[in-house]
Amino acid sequence: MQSVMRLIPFTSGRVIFDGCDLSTLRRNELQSIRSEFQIIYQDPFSSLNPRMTIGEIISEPLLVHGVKDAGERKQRTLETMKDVGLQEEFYSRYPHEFSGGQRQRVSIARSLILRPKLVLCDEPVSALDVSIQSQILNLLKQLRERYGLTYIFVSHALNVVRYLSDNIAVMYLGKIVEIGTTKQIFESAVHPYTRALISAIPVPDPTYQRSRILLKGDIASPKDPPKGCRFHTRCPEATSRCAEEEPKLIEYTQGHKCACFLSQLH
Amino acid sequence: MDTLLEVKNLKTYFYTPDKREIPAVDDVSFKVNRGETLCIVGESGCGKSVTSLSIMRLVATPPGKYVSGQILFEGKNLLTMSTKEIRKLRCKEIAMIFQEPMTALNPVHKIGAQIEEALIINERIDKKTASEKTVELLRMVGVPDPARCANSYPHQLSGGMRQRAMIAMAFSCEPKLLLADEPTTALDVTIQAQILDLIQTLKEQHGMTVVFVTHDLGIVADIAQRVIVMYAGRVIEDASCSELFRNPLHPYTRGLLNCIPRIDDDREELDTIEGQVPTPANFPTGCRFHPRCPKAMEICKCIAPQSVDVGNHVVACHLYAEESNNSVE
Ligand SMILES: Nc1ncnc2c1ncn2[C@@H]1O[C@H](COP(=O)(O)OP(=O)(O)O)[C@@H](O)[C@H]1O
Ligand code: SF4
Ligand code: SF4
Ligand SMILES: [Mg+2]
Repeated sequence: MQSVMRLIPFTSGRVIFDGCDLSTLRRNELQSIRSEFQIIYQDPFSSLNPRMTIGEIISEPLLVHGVKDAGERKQRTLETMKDVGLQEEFYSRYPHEFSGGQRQRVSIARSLILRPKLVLCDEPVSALDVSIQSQILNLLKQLRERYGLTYIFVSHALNVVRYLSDNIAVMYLGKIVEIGTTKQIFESAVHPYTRALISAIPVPDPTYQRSRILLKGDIASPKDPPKGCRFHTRCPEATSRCAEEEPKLIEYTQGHKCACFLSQLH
Repeated sequence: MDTLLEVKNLKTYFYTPDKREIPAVDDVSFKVNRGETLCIVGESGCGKSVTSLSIMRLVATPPGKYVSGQILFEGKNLLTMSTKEIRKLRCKEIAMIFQEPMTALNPVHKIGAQIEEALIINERIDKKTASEKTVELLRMVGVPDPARCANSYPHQLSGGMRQRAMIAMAFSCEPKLLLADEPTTALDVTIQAQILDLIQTLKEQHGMTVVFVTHDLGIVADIAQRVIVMYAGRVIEDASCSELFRNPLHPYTRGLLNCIPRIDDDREELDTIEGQVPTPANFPTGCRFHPRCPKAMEICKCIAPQSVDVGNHVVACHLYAEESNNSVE
């Protein structure tokens, strides 16, 4: 996910944004295109500079991207604060005065002030309390409609992913194992990891019926992933082939791809 | 039914250097029956951890203080026991596991040595038997290569394995009561499912009683027989698991259930509970939920609601005050 932003260099492959191959861009080109995508981080406590006011934090990207007029900066900042549900009085206050949910609103405002096309949300609600999560999730959804945003939403909470996404890519040890529409993933997942993952989501209803797939063993270290299919050490369906050969991500049905030999028999 | 643990009107407060009082756990009462799983659920800062640490007598005093109340374990008040007695009780009778396994594991000793030591002290067995039993325990909690795990330092293991090692250590003396404070919160959901299954299995095999602290109502639905919901240092609802989910009474519990995105619903918009989670330094007056409550009335601002039993279901909210005259405590 950091590779998408070119915050860390990637070793091979390409990232295409709006038709542009980012790996071939020069530094200054990258700088200008970066205003079109932004990140919201997980931790609303460490991601905000404690010595800056809320107003300074939110308006900083404007300054960096050359909006020189202070009046304009302030006006655009206040507008964005209103959009994310922050009161005007907060403009000159400091992050430590705010709760996790409010700080996450500040991060969201900061990421939206340049009116980006794409926002990468890296576990934006997982550090928040349940009652605050839904406020932020609703907000992210409203803002997406209002500004026509595209989100890449990274999360381990599948119920949250389901609420917000149109398409889902399931990753295991650094590889996409299955990708499809939200409906395809939740209603007809084929990869054994996806199926186990969905069956393991705790549902707040003691009468909810399902058969849980319990995996064995432990997730291997991403630095030293197993050979063959990376999931074979925990997969209930693994065969000897899985330990030697790595399955490719292949179209299973229209728009639904899976990297597992089971779905590739035909 | 046979009560193993009863917490009665417990107040555990903290005192800041400038002498401000922080009522982290404020008049909390509940019972746990032998062999059942009780879940304590609530959002951050509501006092779940301080409640469970109080049961272990592990709250640092100062800055903390057990201001009043009783914690009765098999009828004996833990709060008035001597330090020596309480030490004996820990592990042998009551064990605790945490979200962060390093809270319980010593980073400079190998896993095996730590479990062996607990066994030697508590079971009075020799080193050889202890080391055999250690490997057995690690195998029981699902560690694939127990001998190698015993010979590793905590930092050499993955999060899931460290969690299992901590559980093995907690189980080394077959406690009657296991206190689990969010032991799966930091784990991948597939590993979480494995650990929850492990705790359930061990519980059933050994007739253990479990107090499980979590913020996740999904986990509660999965493992609890009884549930207490905490908000701002107080118990606001107490019911059996099936009753709580079928018929939640407190406006906070209802709000919480409605704001979780579920994998079996298709709402376009989630319900929300407005406002922020309060911190103990500025708990609201009256009903501590009143600034966020959609049903709040005038009385809620100044008078804290009593717990009332509306029929095997206890709730602390003025909406139910008339429904019953037998107020609890
Ligand atoms: N050592 C301490 N000193 C001061 N305050 C504390 C201490 N430990 C806990 N608290 C306060 O007690 C409240 C309850 O904490 P805790 O029981 O950990 O909440 P949670 O429900 O998230 O487990 C928190 O708001 C915290 O600020
Ligand atoms: S390729 Fe083999 S090991 Fe991998 S997910 Fe499919 S069946 Fe399991
Ligand atoms: S006592 Fe009042 S404020 Fe508190 S939950 Fe009940 S109705 Fe709401
Ligand atoms: Mg806690």
